[in-house]
Amino acid sequence: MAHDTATAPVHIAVDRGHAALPNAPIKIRARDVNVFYGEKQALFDVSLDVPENSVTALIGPSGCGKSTFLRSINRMNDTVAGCKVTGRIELDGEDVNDRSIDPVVLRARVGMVFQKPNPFPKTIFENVAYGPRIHGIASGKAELEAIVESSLKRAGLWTEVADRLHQPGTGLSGGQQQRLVIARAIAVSPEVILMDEPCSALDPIATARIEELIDELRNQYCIVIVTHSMAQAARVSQKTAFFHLGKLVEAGPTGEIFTNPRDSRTQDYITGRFG
Amino acid sequence: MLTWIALTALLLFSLATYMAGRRRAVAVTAGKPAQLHSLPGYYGSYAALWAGVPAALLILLFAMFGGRLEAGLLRVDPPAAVQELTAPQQDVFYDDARAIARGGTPSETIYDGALKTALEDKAAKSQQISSLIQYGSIGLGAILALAGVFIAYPRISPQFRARNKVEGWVAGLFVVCSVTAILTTAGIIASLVWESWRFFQAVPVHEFLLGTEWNPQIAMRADQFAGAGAFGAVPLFVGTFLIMLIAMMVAAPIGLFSAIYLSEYASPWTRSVVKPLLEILAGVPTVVYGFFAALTVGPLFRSFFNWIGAQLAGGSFDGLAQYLMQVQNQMALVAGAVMGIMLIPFVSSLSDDIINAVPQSLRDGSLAMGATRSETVKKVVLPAALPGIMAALLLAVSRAVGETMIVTMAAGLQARMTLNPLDTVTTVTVQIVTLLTGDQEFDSPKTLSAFGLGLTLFAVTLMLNIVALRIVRKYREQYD
Repeated sequence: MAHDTATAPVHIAVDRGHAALPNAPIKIRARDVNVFYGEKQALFDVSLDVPENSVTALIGPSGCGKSTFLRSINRMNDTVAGCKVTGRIELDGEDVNDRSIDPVVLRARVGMVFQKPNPFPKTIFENVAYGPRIHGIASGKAELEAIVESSLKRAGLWTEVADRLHQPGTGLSGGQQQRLVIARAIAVSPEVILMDEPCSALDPIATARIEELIDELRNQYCIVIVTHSMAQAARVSQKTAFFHLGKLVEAGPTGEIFTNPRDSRTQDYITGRFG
Repeated sequence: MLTWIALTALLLFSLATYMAGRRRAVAVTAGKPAQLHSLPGYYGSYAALWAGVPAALLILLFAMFGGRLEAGLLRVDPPAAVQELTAPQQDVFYDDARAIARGGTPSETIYDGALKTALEDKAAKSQQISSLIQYGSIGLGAILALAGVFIAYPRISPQFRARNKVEGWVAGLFVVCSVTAILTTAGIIASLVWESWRFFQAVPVHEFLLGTEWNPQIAMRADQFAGAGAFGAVPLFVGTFLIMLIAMMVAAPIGLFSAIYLSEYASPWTRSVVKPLLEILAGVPTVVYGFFAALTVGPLFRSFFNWIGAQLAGGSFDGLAQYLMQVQNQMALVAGAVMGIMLIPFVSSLSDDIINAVPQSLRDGSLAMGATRSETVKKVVLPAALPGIMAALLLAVSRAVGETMIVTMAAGLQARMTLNPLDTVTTVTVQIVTLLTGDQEFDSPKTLSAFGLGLTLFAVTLMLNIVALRIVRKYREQYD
């Protein structure tokens, strides 16, 4: 097999954690999801299963609808004027678009990490305490402090910030800010964490740190990550879904997608022929 | 008239020079204009600038200062009869000579004998000198224009960097414009400081800033001097502060809340309708707000308080009732409330811009945590926008302190040390207006005190603006 250097690292990394996948229960089940921005249709009949306690990567060229799909899972598309979602997206069997579902409650269960680190202009402590405070999770100061500490520890940031919890979160480096935002997301104990290109604004070392973190978090959470880097998808995910022009082209175990794609478009994309 | 004709001719000459310069630039390259350093038009402009600008400046200078030059020249070699006159009489004599020369009306002074001859002689001379100056300036202008052409024209060659030169002229123009604005401001400050200094020679600074009685004397006679202790500006400061406070109590919450509504809750359609409407409110002239305060709000408030007084009369609050029944149309509350309404669009428009500048990613971050929209506004958006909002409020305060028309019409003129919003009070700006309107002598402390007040006001608003702009700048850096 003749590989160019761009695809070589993909094959080295695909095996990690892969065995966990086949029998995992389904956490999110999307069926025939269509998303419209005004007149323009951004997603066409997407059906995808996202397994529990694993990382699912959404890949595809820019504008393919992968971020749109991600944002419809926690109904962040509600904040976009003129956006309409049809079809079913089930979280533990419940339709998230059902009238009985409060998006506020849904978003407490489905955390999200954005492309650009967006810490609030507050202290590090207040950033992490934000979610527990608004949801009334902690019953006292001590418990709140415990939650902040454990969240920062799980996000791998505790040792770096323990002595400056009361300094502004915006003063951290880009990679630290992104881990702070992840700590903020897990402080409310979500079941799912959505990540929208979490490393695209970071340098390679910070990226590696975040990828390690994603791999650790996989044991407790169901993670869906949108990424432009196929190497990243191969490194961190157990399941990969390839989107193209608003359609889900192919989804399956990451190893299979990268070594033996069924669709020629997937093949072309992962070998770098377009995208 | 002649000057205008000359300037028009100069403009036409410059245009012709432009065409000629352009053509020459093309000609010197033998039909390959690409060899030129600059586009041909720049060579034309270069020649036209040399031809037009120095000559035009010269003609304008003479048009502006020619009269003075003539007046000066007229006094050279005075006749013996005139030399015998006193200095003011001489001034009148020369003014009359010039008036006769221009066909105007001279003063009613009667000249006879040698003076009469001298007057006619000087009138004729005045005419001569002024036409000499006029024709001379035009002739000099023509020479300058031609000289300009002779300087610029031979320089046109492919290596000559005409664009850089023309851009230098344009840059010079920009410098002149900006320096004009700065110099004017400096001049205003200098005159304020100078006149205030004269005032503070008559009234000590501490008396002005700390005195509690404001009662400037009217200088009816030259020997009358304003009594000491009448120039204590504290009642004015208190009045200004009271009205500003009332205005901000109206404008800050309403303006801020409407800004929050517009930027966080309103649909794009509502926003596109409401925002321009609010900005129309900002375009209403303050004198119209003044009418509104004096003729509508004032009587309304008075009858309201009179009515309350009538209800309470005879009861246990009889003192209060008696007071309320005597409330007048003019009171701090009316002026403050209407000024607050005037400031609403100012506050809301500025705060709206500031709230909009808070990055959407922060709102997304908060909403994605499961925060409601109101939690997001309260806990993320407003704290992030707070420095900017503070700055907007400070700018509004500075406008309230400097506002004149509404308070002149609705607050009253009596300088009182009171924080009672139902009293008539007076403000710094109102006093400046009343001190300076009408015929005034500009050397009495009464009139000069207006400059003292003006300087104080200027210092306060300047400080408020500097602080506000600093906050805004600091805040902007945070998110760029």
